[in-house]
Amino acid sequence: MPGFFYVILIIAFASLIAAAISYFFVKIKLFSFTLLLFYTSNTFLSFFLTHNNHAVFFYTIVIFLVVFPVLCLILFALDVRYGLFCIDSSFVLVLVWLLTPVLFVVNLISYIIKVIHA
Amino acid sequence: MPEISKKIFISAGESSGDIHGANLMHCLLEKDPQITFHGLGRENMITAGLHSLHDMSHKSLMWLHALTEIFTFLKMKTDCVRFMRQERPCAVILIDYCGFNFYIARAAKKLGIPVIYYISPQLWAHGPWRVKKIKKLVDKLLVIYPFEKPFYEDAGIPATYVGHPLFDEIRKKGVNEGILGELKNELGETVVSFLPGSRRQEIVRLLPLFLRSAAQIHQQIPSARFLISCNNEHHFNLVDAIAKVSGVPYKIMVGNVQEVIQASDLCIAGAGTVTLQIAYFLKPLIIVYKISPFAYFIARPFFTTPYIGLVNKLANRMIAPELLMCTGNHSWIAKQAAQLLRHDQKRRECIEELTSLMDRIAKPGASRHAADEIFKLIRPA
Repeated sequence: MPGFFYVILIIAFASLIAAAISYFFVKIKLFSFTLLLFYTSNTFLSFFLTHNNHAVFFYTIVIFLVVFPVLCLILFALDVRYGLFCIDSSFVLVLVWLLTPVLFVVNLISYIIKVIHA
Repeated sequence: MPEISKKIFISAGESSGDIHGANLMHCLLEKDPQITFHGLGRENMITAGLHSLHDMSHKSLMWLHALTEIFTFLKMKTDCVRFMRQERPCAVILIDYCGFNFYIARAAKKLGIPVIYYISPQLWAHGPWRVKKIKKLVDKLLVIYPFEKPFYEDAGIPATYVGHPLFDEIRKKGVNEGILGELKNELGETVVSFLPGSRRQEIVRLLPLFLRSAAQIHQQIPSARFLISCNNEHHFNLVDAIAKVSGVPYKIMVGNVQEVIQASDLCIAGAGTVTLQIAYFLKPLIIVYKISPFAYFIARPFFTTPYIGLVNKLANRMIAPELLMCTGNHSWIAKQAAQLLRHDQKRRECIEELTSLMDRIAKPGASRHAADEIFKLIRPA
C-alpha cells in the first residue's frame, strides 16, 4: 500500500510542477489538464491517508485546499470570458498558487507520518 | 421641455487623478459656469469646487491592501449610489482608479446615467480581458495615449484620444529657476537622480536597489552626485534612512520633481507616469520595475506588452533602457547609467528619440479636449 501512495505522490508532485510551468508559459489546455490531475491525485491521496481516522481533517482539506481554489479558478475563468466582476479578479490566482503547494505539502506530511507509524 | 441637470458626478481616487480631475472641472466650468460637481476627490478637486461626498486623501491603496479598508469603500459606494439615485446627475465622470470606479460605473449604468471614463485603466498592460467589463459599463472613453484608441475601439468601445493632461500640468507648473540654480550649484557637473515613485512600497522596493547602483556609478564616475526625489514629505524619514546607509553623496528633494529632473544628467526611475515627465524634459532615463519572484510568476501570463516603460511602449521600441527584475540587479543599472553618462553617441540617440516622441505626444489641451468631448455627450447639438 505505501507503494501505491508513493506513486500517487509522485504523480501529484509532477503534475504540480507541470501545472506551474504550463501556467507560466500560458499553455492553457495543458495547465487545465495538469491542475485537474493534481487536484484529483491529491484528493485521492488525502482520502486514503486521512479519511478513515481523521474524517474532519480530510473534509477541511478538501474544502479549503481543493474546492475553494477550484471555485476561485472557475470564477476567474468566467470573469475572463464574460467580464463579470468589477474588481480585478486576478488576485484569486495569488490565493490559488498559495494554496496549491500547501495541499501537496499537507499530503506529503500525512504520508511521512503514515510511513513512520507503519 | 424638462430642464437638463447641471450636476455632474465625478470620481477620482489617486492623487494624480485628483489633479487631472481638477483641471477637467475648470475646463467644464469655463464652458458652463452653472455646472456643479459632486463625488469623490482630493484637495485639488475640492478647491476646484467639488462637493465631496468623501475625501479620498490617504485612500489610495493598491491591490490586496485595499481589503483592509473594505468597509470604508463599501460606505463610500453606498453614499455615491444614494447621491446618484436622489440627485440624478447628467453624467458620471470617472478618472482612473478602476477598482472602485467600476462599482460606481455599474451603479450609474443601472440608473441610466451616462458614464464617461477619463484616463482609462491601463488594461492593455495587465488584464486585457477586463475590456469586456468596460464595454458593459462605460458609454465613452477618453484615452490619453494614442495606442489606447484602437485597443478599445477594436473591443467595440467608443474612445477618443484627448492627449495626456500631464503635459498641461508640466507646462502650468514650469520649472523654478531659483531652485534649479541652487541644485546645480550644490551638486556639480554630473547629477544622477532617483525617482522611485510616490508610494511607500515603491520606495522600499526600489530605492535600496538604486542606491546600490549609485555606489557602483560613483566608483566609475567619482564626480557623480545623487539626487533623490521624495514626492511625499511623510516619506522623507524613510528615504533618508535608506539613503544614509548607502555611503554615496546624496541630496533628498521633497516635491519639486520637475526641478529634480531638469537638474539631472540622467534619471533612474520606476515604471510610472514620472517617466513621461522625464521624457518631456528630454533627459536620458533608465526604467526599472521590481517585483517579487512570486508576483512575477503570477503576473507573467498576463504580460501583453513587451515594454514596462510608458516611454518605450509609446515609441514602440526600446528608446530608454528598461528592466523588469525579480532580484536586485543593481549592476545592470550601473552599467546602463555609465553608458548614458559617458558615451555621447548613446546619450544623443536617447535624447533624439525622446524629442521625436515628445513632438508626437506632448501636445497641450488634453483637459480642454476632454471637456469638449464630455459636452458633446451631455449636451448634444
